[in-house]
Amino acid sequence: MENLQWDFYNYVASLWLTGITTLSLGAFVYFKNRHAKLNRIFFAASISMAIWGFGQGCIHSDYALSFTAARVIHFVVPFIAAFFFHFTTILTERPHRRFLLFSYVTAALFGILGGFTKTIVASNPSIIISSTFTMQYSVGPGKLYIPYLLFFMLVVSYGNLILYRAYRESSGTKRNQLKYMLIGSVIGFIGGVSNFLYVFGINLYPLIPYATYMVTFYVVIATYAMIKHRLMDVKIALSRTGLLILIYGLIIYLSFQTMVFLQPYLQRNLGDKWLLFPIVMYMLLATAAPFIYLYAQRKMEEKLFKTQRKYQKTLKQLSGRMTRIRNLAKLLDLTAIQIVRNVGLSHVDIFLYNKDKNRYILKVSRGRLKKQAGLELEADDILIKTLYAIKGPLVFDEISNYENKATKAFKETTPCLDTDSLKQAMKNLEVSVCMPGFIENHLIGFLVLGEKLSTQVFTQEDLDIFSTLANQATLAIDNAQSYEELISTKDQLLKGERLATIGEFASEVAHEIKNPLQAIKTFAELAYEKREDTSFLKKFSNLAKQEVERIDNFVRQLIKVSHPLPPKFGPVDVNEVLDSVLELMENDFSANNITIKKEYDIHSLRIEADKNQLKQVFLNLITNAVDAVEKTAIKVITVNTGKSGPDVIIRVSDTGCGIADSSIPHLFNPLFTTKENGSGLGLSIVDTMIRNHNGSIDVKSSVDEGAQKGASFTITIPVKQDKKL
Amino acid sequence: MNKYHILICDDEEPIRESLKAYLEDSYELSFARTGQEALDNISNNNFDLLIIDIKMPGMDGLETIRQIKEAKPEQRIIVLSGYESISVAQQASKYNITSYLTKPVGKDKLLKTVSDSLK
Repeated sequence: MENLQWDFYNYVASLWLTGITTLSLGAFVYFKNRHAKLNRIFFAASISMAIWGFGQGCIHSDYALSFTAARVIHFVVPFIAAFFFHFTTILTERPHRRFLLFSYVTAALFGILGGFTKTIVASNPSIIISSTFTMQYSVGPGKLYIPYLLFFMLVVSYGNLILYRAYRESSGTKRNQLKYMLIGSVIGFIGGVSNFLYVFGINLYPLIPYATYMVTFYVVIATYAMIKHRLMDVKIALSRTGLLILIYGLIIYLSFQTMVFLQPYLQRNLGDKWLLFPIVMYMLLATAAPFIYLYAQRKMEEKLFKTQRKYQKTLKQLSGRMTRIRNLAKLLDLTAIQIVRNVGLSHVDIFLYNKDKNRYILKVSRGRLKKQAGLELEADDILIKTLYAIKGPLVFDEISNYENKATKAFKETTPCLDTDSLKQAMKNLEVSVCMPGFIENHLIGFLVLGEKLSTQVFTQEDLDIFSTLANQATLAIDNAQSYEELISTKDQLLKGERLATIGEFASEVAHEIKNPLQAIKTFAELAYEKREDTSFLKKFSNLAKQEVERIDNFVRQLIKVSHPLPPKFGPVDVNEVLDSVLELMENDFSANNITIKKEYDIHSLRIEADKNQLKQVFLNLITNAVDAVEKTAIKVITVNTGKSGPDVIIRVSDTGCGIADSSIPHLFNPLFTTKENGSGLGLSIVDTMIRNHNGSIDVKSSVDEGAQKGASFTITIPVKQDKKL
Repeated sequence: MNKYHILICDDEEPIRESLKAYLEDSYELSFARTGQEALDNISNNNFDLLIIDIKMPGMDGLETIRQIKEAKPEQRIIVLSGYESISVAQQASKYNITSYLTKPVGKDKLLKTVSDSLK
């Protein structure tokens, strides 16, 4: 077993792994977006690193190969530094043009020296790395090897310094991206540079064969940081890659070791077929590997992202609860507060579309950086336009990506996306992520998420959860909005009645009548006393007449006003209108434990009617029924509908206290009431409206205890209205 | 003997004429058609009594009373209004008015209230 050259194997393996990973990931980044300069330079750096990796891996036992490889890699290495520097200037958006030019020119110079002269690679001496591994032909330093190495170190260090400075000055996810890039590049280059040491005869075993694996590490991090820095937390990227390597490495290693250890024993027992055993074992392990991997991944991520999983769970539960909340303000508040608290965001804002203003209005803002309510965005704001275009989460740090890999639809709707003004608009609102809420292609609102207080990135999992949440919220908001519209209709319907009940109306009426009465009273009182005073008589006989006319006019107008507007007929489904009224009174029913029995005609009852007046009629009747059952033991309200010849019949019956026989003749008179706080207008309005529809209303009632107790109102309305009306 | 001087403030002519018919024999009368006119009158002259309406276009009676009381806290004021409601009377009495009458007012009640107010 001593002749197993582990150190040698690892030397070659780490370098070839570097070559393969850099080349494949570089190509992956390049093809992901070949128009972006950053990606092109990354690819160039990757190619040069791959050449180095493969080349270095060839330097060991064959002289001709080692010699050529040494020349080739020393031609390439200065360019790795220059490309890396170029890459950092683009990534950090800090162009250092002069230094960049210097590094490229010098790299070319050193490259030529390294590849074609003896000034860098002077000889190929043999170097002992460890007891089991001796490089027979390696690299002996030439006269200029030290400046050559210093140049490499200078350019790479300066690149890292730029990364560090940019990291210090940046914020949010960019900061994270730069942080991981920086850690990755420092680790990677330490690993890479370790390979320079043996050139000077410095043997830092086991650093020399094994540190090279760190280069692979860098490439993986850099790729993730570039491609998915926003969508995939680097923690996940690293843990998954690490885990994959660990598990597959273990499986290959186990099979290999088993084969080595058990070979004599197996050969003795199985003869020539002994190899079957390790092969079968390898196959079994390889089959099990994906399952082990997935299990381990889940367990590890549960540990790693405990807090994240926790808030994701909470938000999922919130999504489910949302549609049941009908109060819009409460819903918005709950959504914002739950996100801010659970995810730990600087702020969460919710904007909703306002039809009348054609604007998006800030409805609620929560968190440390919450904004003043009432902020408005025009419907053609660049943010809104972009949301319409991408129809999905808008992520601040990905704006440049949208520009590059813009979808077809995006380009069609926004031919020239002004990323600068979009960035500015998002900065103004401190948007990290913007989640739109669409209903039938209409943006009814959007959710603005600030930064995570932990400055961690938003992962793809986060965005998925927020998407679900936003979708649910959209539905819930739409629900709540239509419910609120319904309530406001109810208010409007009740308004006419309410004016009278408040007494304000009556008081105004009294005032308007009592003023003109003054002159009439004065005239009546003083006429005899001042019968000699002709100027008084003349003046006041006129005034009195004039004031009587004033009262007369006022009363006429009052009657006109108190009559409802002429009905506006249109097609109306009676059952639907009843349902809408029952729905808006649902709270009254549940608060009083009232059972509603619907006995509708199975066919839809479409008639010609004024929908609002019908609503008013049903609302008044059902409100009366609710009041009637208030103090009775059995609380049932039954609503029947049906057709009878050319008419539709609607009946509202209750099991309430019933109406006294003496009251029935006055029931529809205005101001007649049996309720403590009644206005006496409800049924009179019903009567007027039914008559407007050429219909009639009939009442049956019993105050006796028994099955018949309660009141029942039956409305008959013709299906078709006389066009003359 | 000098007659008491009364200022009558109401936007409606029939009301002013009615009060004039009742009061002109016993008192010296002046008239204002708006709250502002009443304010101007009172700041330039001394009136023993002000009879004022509540509901008037522009500055309403309550506001006029408030400003008058601010300048002349001792000014005696009778409110004559078409409002029967308690709340309006309560609002008026907040300003320490002398008396509150509702329209239409009769001769006896008016004369008694006026003479009581001037005691």
